Amino acid sequence: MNIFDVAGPITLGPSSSHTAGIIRIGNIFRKLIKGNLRRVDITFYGSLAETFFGHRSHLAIMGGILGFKESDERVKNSFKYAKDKGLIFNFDVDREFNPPHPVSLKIEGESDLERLEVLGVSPGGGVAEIRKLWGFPVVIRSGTNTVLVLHRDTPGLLSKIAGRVFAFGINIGTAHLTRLKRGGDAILVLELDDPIDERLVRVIERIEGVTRVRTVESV
Amino acid sequence: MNSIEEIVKEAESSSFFDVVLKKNSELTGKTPDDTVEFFKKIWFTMKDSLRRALSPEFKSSAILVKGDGKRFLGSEGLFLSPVVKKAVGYAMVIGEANASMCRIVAFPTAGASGTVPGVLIAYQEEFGERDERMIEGLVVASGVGAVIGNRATLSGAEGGCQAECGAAAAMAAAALVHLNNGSPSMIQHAVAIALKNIMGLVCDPVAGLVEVPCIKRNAMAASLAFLSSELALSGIKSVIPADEVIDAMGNVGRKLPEELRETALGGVAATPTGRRIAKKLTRMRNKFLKNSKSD
Ligand code: SF4
Repeated sequence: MNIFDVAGPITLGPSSSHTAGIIRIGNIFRKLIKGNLRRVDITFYGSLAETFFGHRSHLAIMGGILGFKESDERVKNSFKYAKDKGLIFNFDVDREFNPPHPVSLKIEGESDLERLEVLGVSPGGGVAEIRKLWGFPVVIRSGTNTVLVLHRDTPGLLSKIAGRVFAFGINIGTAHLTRLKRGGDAILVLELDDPIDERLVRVIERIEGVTRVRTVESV
Repeated sequence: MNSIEEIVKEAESSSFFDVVLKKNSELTGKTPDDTVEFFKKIWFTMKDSLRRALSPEFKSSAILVKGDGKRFLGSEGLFLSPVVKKAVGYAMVIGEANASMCRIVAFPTAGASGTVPGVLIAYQEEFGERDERMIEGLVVASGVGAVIGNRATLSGAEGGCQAECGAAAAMAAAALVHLNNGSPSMIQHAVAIALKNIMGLVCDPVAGLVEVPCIKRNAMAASLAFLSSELALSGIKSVIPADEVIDAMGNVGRKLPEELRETALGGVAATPTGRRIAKKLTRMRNKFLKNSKSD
């Protein structure tokens, strides 16, 4: 721990795990879903199912989904902004589900282009993590530059993707490849040391076998 | 950033502030100028949070306590000196702003975010110190906070309120000693005294809200910072060195049962009144869930 870890974050109260971290989960979700958002369904899990209301985590997640940052006081009125945009939203709690962390939630979203479901975790200190995406167990962490590549599990694809990233002079910090079954869909999660170049995204998209590319820049 | 004693030793030929800055550069690769720039933003955000929370336009959305800080600031002075009174009032005002979902600086946490700015802003107003010096005070406070975080914890869920409001009191006390040109070893004694005096304080937020007892705990921590720094500045020493007190605090925190670590199951949260409030909040939550469907 250094002194930057002690001072801050600059954030909305009342609790970094129930506000800042939750807002960042919403920010990442907004980056992941394409198109105009029409509807979101949010389910709180674990202890969050009990504590979300007092900590205004419902306002926090809505603000995050609208793209407001963790220090933006518009979050306090996020329901009003959502209604003005015509966004349909529902909130629920699920105490049966056993979440990966006590402060967890699910977002199911629908835009004019696609549907997306993610599982978000706020482990503390204002950090956010996405733990499930496109049906795959993943770890996408706030504060990183992450590229997500959905593709068909084919030999040699990983080295092709890595080669393209390398050609852009960007270093790959960590890489995680997950597939549900051999030859089926697989997801590659790359954390990069430098900000993502939009051209790189288009280059990866053109690789044969790649079906979808999304990026999350350090929020 | 693992030992107060180590910082004090190195500070013999410079100052506590310089050593923290230097150590942090080694740790993070950030230049001292970058670090000061970072803390400048922290400082002005603190002042901005307070200014907006004091303005007539401020709307509290705290659920359990409203307006205590402002009311206290408007009340007549009795026992506390003007700077302590102001600091205590400011700490509560910021505590309430935090509970109202306003923008604050978590320092070291959101729950304890009133203490350090309350103390330092009141100090600047009463003693007319320059912003550059106040920023030095924040760096000193953060150095102390980092040592507490590294040797023990800064989280109420891990170590009780001694780790949040207690740490904030020790951090503010260190800054006050630095601002009064106290020696590095006086900083270490102020830290030790503050933490010894709050050893074992539990985390017991009523209904899980960061309001009761949190807002008034910030007031207490602010006053403890003045007490500890003035004792140390008068030359009084702590028999137990700061690092050992911090280790003891960490051990005590680990021994606290889970009920007393932010779960809202013990302490004042578990009193009949605390439980009643929790039930009421559950009813409010259920009503929200029923009405939250927009289709
Ligand atoms: S009682 Fe708990 S939640 Fe409240 S300020 Fe202390 S540590 Fe934070």
